[in-house]
Amino acid sequence: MKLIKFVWAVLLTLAVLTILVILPAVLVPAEEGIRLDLMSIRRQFIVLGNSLISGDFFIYRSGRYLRNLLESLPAYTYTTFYYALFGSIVSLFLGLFMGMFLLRSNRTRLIETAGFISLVPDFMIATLLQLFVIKLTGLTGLNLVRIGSTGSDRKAVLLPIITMAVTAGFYLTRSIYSHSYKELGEDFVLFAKAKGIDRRSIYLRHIFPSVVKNLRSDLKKYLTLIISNLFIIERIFNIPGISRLFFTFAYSVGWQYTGAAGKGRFTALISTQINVALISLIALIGIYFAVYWILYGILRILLKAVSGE
Amino acid sequence: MSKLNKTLILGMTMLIFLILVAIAGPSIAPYPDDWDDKIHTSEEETSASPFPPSEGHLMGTDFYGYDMFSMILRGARYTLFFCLAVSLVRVVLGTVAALFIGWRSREIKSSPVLGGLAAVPIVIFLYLLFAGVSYNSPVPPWILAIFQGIVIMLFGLPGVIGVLEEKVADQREKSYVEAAVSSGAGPVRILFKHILPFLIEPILIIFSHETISVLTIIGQLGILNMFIGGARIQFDPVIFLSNSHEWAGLIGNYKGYISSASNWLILFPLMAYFLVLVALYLFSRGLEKYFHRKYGNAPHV
Repeated sequence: MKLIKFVWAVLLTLAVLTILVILPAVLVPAEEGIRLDLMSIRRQFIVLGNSLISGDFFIYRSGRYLRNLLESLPAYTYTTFYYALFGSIVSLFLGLFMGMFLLRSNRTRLIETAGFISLVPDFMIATLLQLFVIKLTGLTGLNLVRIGSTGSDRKAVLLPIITMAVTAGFYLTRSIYSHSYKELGEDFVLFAKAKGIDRRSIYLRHIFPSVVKNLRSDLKKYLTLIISNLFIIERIFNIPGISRLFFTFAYSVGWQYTGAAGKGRFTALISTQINVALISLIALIGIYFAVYWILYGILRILLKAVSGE
Repeated sequence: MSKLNKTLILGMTMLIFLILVAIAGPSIAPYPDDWDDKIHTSEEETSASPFPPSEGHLMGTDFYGYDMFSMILRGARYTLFFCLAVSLVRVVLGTVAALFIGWRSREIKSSPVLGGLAAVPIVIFLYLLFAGVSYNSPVPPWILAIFQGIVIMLFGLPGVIGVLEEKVADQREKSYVEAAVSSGAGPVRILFKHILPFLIEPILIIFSHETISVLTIIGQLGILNMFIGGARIQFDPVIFLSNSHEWAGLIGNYKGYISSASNWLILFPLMAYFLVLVALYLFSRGLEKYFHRKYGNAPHV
């Protein structure tokens, strides 16, 4: 029964993804508005079906060359996985630490600041960091940090991770703070206090485990945020991850001549390799679940260590 | 009313200022839309755009010699009114839907079957929906903007409904509702005359939050070269130019200049965008303070 459910989920997800990736060819401009090009749906499905049958499903065009995704996909996937895991762990611990710290310090101004920072979008933090490093380099002449990747073995690491830590980390800080603030008003805290347990132990033994448990149930939401931040961050820092595959090979901009010969015109066209788009989104989902289980494990160990369960 | 709510006042002032700028923008812009200044010649040297900020160009000019200050003034209305309109429609539709769903209080279960789709960022959904129509499109920018607005609005709608629907369900249990029912009021009357007034606070706060989230979404789309109102693409090299000079679009346009000497091109749109963010944040924090109510207990330790 579980297996059937799983297969059903996989098939349904694949179907939705397929519809998603052919959308740019289906939703097209018309002279007086926007229309659905229904013929194109059929065409796209035929292309996809043919490539599946002929075994070209993993072949994609990169400039003048034909490449095989089976060879190049692991590198792209690993890069995104690396940043997703590294970034999410750093921001997780930052969030936990900051959230508990804010709770103990109870300084309104700090809390307000953290609340504001959690709203500043990822691309703005990334760009400001880049500008800051450029300014710093200009002033000191030291080239300390890469503001973008310049090759697959020279990736920018520090700034992307800081960006993720600031965006996702402060998001967690805010949610951990508000959750544990509510928790502090619960009766079990009053009870613990009445029994003479000191403040430190209440935080560590009572509040912290509940925070971690809450975090564990919100983990998927948190990872959605991480992945969507990562997509933007990869673009800004020029990181060769899944987003590179998506925006360079799956959807790239090209020319198309429309209309009768001599009377038509050139229009821009998003040329698509829907197999690449499909595979890169599937890889993204794979990364999402892999990171999810790793983080789940970490939180479990943390919970065991703190509460001694 | 004991203390003056400085946050709210400051936020509202900034918002009103921005709205005035957005309304008056095109008419106070120092240079006309098609004005450009590509080459400067003086006795010493000849130089080409982009020119750094100077007296003639408060925020400098871009690569094509267009005045940045004028572009920002023209784009203000797109950024601001787009965010406000999208979240307004989202909240109004969300409220009406939440009233009826909350009244019936059927449990809506999210489908775990499609849980994997949570890995696909919303900006990707939006990108794919817009990609076919947004580039060098024959569709006028304002129609495109409306289409994009409706799509973005729909994506946030379930979240708004979810939050408000719970609140409606809470109110439904109250005795004033029972009293209204027993005096013969119909559901529509109860929902709009009795329950809705209780929801004004959360609705206003949600509205301010939604505006910020729309602002974030269009900013992220801008980074992916997807601009509100569409873009013209220039080839060789491929450059995406925003049709509307909308601020997130300007950030997207000039993000490539960040490591060049002319990084004011990215700095000014970024500052303008940041101003909107700060105004909206202060507005929403101010509202939260204004409606401050202790929902939980005060902390014991």
